[in-house]
Amino acid sequence: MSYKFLSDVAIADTAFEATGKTLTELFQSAAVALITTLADPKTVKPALAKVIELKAETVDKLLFNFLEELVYLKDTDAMVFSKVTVTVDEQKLTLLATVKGDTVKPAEQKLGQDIKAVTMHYFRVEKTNGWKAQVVLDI
Amino acid sequence: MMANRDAPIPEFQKQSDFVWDIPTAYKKGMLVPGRMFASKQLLQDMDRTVYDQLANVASLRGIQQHALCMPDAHSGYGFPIGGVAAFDPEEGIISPGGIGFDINCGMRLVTTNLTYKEVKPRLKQLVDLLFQRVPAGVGCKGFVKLDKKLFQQIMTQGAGWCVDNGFGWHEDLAAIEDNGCIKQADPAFVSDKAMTRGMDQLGTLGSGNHYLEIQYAGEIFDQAVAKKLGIISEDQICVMVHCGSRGFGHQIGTDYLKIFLDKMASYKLNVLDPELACAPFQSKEGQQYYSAMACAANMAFANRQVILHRIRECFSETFGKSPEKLEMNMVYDVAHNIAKLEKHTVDGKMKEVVVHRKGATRAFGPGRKELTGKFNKMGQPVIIGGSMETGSYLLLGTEGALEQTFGSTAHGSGRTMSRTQAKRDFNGEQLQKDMEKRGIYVRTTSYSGLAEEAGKAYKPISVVVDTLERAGISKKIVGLKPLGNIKG
Repeated sequence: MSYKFLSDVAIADTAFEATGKTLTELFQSAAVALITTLADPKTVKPALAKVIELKAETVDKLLFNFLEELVYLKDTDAMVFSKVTVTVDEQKLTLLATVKGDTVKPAEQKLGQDIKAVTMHYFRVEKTNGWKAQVVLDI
Repeated sequence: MMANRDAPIPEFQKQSDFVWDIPTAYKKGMLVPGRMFASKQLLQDMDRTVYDQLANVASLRGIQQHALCMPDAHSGYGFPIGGVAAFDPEEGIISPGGIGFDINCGMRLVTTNLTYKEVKPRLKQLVDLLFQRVPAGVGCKGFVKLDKKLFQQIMTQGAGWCVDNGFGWHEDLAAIEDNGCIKQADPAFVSDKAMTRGMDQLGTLGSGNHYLEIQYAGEIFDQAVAKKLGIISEDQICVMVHCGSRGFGHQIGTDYLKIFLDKMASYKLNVLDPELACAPFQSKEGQQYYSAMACAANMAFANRQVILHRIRECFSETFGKSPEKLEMNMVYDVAHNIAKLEKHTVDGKMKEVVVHRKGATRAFGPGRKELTGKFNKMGQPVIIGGSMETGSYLLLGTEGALEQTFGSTAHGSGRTMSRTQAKRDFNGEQLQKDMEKRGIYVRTTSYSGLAEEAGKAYKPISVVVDTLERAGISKKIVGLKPLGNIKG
């Protein structure tokens, strides 16, 4: 389970590649890449908790909608995140996630960039030995 | 799983020193040629993905004449940034990817009658106050408390709502593209999700490349026109704002991207990149998006209007004079992420087209009916935002833009370095100190974000602007230099 930011895919935006042995691990990696773009999770207190439940027709849509939900929470609750714990059912294509974090507090949190949207630009989820995804976030 | 950075370099057909065509033979499916506005050097340095993305745009149904690209272009998602494309309203499409998620991201420029010498001693005090009063950065909330009903009024009334509610002057509206209100807005086609996401964000900057900048008019190229726009001397202080429709517009973009992706097959539309998802302009979904897009555009006009109100308050408090006494007048406000139904000459005949501008600015020359008051005679002001280290420009739209680019020009200097790379090459804290030594005082909510916006991550703006002028699509009026900056 890991992720890396890619410097040569998007110029004005942020691209990352996430991997995992299982879909749960892949989604976990992608979520960490996204929340790290918003703020250093180590500097965010787990003061609030939110639950995300999703179902989709394809793995691609499930990942896209999951990441989009995190972006939505960021704006509606003015929230940055400390931790995401997600479980994906590969057969049913359902997802249950618990998201912890706090409202934005610039004095105590190391903030990064706001994310406008998860894009479909070169958005890919691939089954390799495990799973691999590429995501471009609009900044 | 890489972007098409290895796209072949086209066999450019040179039209002039600043206009280069990419023939339809470049990529299968192109319906019209691509046309790049660039100097030879800018063309050589261009990120190659732009060519491939422009070719993809040129293959969209109903495209007219050329898929155009401005000299500040760089690769985006779907359309390149700096892209302009016009579509036939009957046969053609509308695409959220040709507008961007940040609908009506745009620029606003305001004058003062203060001089460099008057502001310099109080610059820190002023910037610190603005930083406190104009919310910026991730998850920032605005000070205007709205409910769903009021938010819907903003969607349909735009900047006019702000003026009616005490956030601005009536005369501000005359200096905003479309007077700060696009008529076809209909909140019925906006999701609840978009509303809840954006309702608390009126009057906020956001982050990324958005900013509020204190500038001085370092170089006046056309004294007569500059004077008509309220800029009379080279030490005069101005304020520039760059931001858009915040989470509200971003959610509308996301909502319709998904709707269009699901519907395209039923309209027998096939695109080369999912971010080019589109619908026929006249289809139910196409018209619904057009109405929702206008809601976001109006929210963005209102957003910049409320920010202006706060700027006026901060200047007034710092300098002990009313904003009226400080002559804090609007120069202009332009959108650079938008689609509009406009009349243009196509193959010698005037016809309506749906012009998409993504990281491109309307640049109408004199005489267009959309331009009212003094702008009808002089042409439309264009605001080109540069990096926080190098400065910005005030230009004027031209006849040449109407003839060559569906009345469009560039929007900024254009990135050359990725954000990830900029964070590796620059340190935000160090950059802030270096800029302060050079007389530019910057406040930010994110030092990594500041590093991403380093001047060296952008093309030289003077080269971009010279290209616009020499290609005849804009005229230089004033060069503005940074003095204080607030980054989100």
